[in-house]
Amino acid sequence: MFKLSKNPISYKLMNQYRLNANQFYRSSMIGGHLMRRKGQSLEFKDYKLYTFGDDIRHVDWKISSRFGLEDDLIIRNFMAEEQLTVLISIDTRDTMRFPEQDKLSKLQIACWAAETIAVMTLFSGDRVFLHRLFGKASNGIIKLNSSNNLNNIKAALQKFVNHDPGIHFNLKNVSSCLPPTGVWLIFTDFYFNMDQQAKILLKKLSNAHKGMRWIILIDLDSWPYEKLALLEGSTSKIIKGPEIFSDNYKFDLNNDSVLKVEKNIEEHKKQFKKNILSSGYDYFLWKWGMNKNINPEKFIKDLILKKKSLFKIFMKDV
Amino acid sequence: MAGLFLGFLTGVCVAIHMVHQRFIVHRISSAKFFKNLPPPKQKRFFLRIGLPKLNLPFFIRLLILLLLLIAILNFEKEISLGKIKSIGLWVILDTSASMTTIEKKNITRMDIAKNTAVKAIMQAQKTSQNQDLNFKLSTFDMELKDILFTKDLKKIKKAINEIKPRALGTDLISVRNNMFFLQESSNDNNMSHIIVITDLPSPTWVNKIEKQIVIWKDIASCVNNTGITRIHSSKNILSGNVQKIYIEIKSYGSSMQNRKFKIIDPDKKIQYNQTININNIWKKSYKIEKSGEYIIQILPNDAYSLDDMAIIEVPKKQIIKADWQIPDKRLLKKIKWINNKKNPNIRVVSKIIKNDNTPALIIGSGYNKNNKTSITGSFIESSPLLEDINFDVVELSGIEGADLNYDNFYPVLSGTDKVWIAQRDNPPAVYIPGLPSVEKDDNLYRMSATIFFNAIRWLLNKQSSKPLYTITNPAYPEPYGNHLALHEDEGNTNKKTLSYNDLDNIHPIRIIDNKSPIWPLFLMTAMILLLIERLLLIFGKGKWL
Repeated sequence: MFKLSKNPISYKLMNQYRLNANQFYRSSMIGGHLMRRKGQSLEFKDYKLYTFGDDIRHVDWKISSRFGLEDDLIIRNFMAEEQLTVLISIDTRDTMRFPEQDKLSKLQIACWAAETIAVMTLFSGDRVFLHRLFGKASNGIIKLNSSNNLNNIKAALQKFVNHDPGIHFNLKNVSSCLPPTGVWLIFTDFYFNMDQQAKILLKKLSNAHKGMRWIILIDLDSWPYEKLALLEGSTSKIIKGPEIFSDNYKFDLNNDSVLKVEKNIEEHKKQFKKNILSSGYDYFLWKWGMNKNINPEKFIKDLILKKKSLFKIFMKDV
Repeated sequence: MAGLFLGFLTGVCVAIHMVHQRFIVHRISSAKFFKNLPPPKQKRFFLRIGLPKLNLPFFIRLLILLLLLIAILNFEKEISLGKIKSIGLWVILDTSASMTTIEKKNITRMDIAKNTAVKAIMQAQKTSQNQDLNFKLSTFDMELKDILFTKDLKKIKKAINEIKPRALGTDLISVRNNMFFLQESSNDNNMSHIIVITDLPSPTWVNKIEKQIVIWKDIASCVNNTGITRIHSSKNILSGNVQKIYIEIKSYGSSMQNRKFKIIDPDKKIQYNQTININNIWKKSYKIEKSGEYIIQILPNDAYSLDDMAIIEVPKKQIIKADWQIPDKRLLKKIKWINNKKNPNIRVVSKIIKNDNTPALIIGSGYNKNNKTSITGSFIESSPLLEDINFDVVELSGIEGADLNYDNFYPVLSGTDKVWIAQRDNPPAVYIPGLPSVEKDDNLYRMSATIFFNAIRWLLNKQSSKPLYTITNPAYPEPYGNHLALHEDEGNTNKKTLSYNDLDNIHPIRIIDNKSPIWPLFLMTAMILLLIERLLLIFGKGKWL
């Protein structure tokens, strides 16, 4: 059974980061509603002169008598604090459970990243949905909306990991978890089959995008790591892995044949990526294994806290 | 040979590590993207030879073999663990009958001997400071018996405590031989001291023992004793019946006054009861009227009681029916046998009768047939047919002898070419040279009569005359009935005491190297490494293969 390891990023460190909604700027939507909107809410923002149409109940009479000109009234202005929703989808298929060595499987990294984002979101007072991208719909989405749910995050992720993902996407209830101000993060390696199912995902992404959701796709790519291992030692290999059921999958590998495999992977991903890139979604490639001697702790901190992808969502407290 | 075998094993170990699987299994997430790659061009064997897999188990295995090789090559090598003081004490305790002698206040010589043995052991423990103590415990009487070989003080004390005296005589020869054997033997079992605890004075040969320190501890003190030393009988030489018994009583120490001497006959009647004063030796003869059990007793008991009473058994008188086929019937009349042809106890014939089971005495041509002196050839020493026979008289008796042509006869006494006495076991028959001479009471008469009656007794009872009593021996050491402990000199409780050396002589004379063989260290290290290697395989699984 795949058992999730402890997140190298401590809650204390996560607590130093806040959801930075003001950073959300997209060229196609100037002043887009994903910013925190000004209005007559509970939180005081600033003072302004009374103009026609303002609510007479917000006139600050004391300030008006002290600082205002003869007929000027000064009213209090309030800022509306709108709760943000973050939907984190995790691909839990077998291909995500590799590489098996050094605890640096794609699934492990996805879960650590998901946990980190979920904790930071909850610390900011916002709402999180954890979503299992594959498998049955029941218990496929778990809602977390307060920092009291911190302890449930890892348990929820472990449940996702334990669940048999099958080959079908779990997209039935996704729309209901994505209000217009939502962010949809998807962690996957894009190794799933580009069939009718994949088209449903693309449609869901397209709908979400049109509904003013911010979509971020994170491509977990361990191929460089696997490539290094393949070129080590004897050139004669028996290849085993997900969706391979033959014991006689033997090859004499060299640089050329490995490059051919790499090309196959690129071709496969291209089928999906061409749609998402043309649609203007945010796409980030997380690649590792260029250097085989990886320190998992340092690696994951650099990946999650220093990569541009997550810096767009969070900022460090000053 | 073992080295070669281990060298071979090392080769095998290296060879195993040089064999690799040709195809290495790789589990990767991108496996399905290999679908279009071409398969290997040619079929190959699934194993390949390469450089040895230089992992930790490989080196551990080589090291194990190396350690085993070193262990075998150094099988006889020892390392010194330091010097230790060593005492090997051989305690030899006298268990003969005289050790039952009461010295004073009901303390026997055996009690004193046991105390002395324990003191010797404690002395050894004290002087060696418990560094290296070896004990051997033996007892001697008519035989030397090894009881225990130990380093354990408790065990040897217990063993000493359990020793009991036996109603047997003393044979110092076996003690002497064993002690001298130690001088010649290279394996002395680390014995550095020998202590003999006995009631006998030290013999002169003990100072010839050089390899060990000998302590001869004579624990006896002179006590007075009176005891029966000998009982023998006179028999009718024709009938073999006991006529008289002779009793010899000796006193050791000062002369014994006012001792009661009794003889009780088979009817339990006191036949003799007399107060006697014994000064050195006192003898008594007593005429036997009846067969049966006689009790001879000296009262009261003194320091050594085993010689104060003796029971003897006088055999029944015999009246024999004989089929006397020899023409000369003078002897028949003289010995008053009944001539009975129909149902005889014995046939006296000049020639063997075939198919006859009656015991037969075959009489030869007689004595004094020539005046030549014959020379004795072979004879069966233990044969009852030769009991009390004087061979000098036989050689002068002019026996002609016979060629032994009868079936199943074998010679008992032969001259240089002829058989003089022969016997057959089944049916019993004896050939003798002739009838006893009845004319003169001379040596020839006595010798010929003895041969005749020995043969008669053997034929009738398959044994010569039954003794009055038997003596205890290591096979039957306990006295009972007429099985007596009248061993020569055991009752002499007044010997001059003479010891040789003392318990103070028990001190370490050997400072020995405490050596230990070296091979178990290598073997143990190899075993530990093997355990580590196995654990690596269990916990590391394929990684350590």
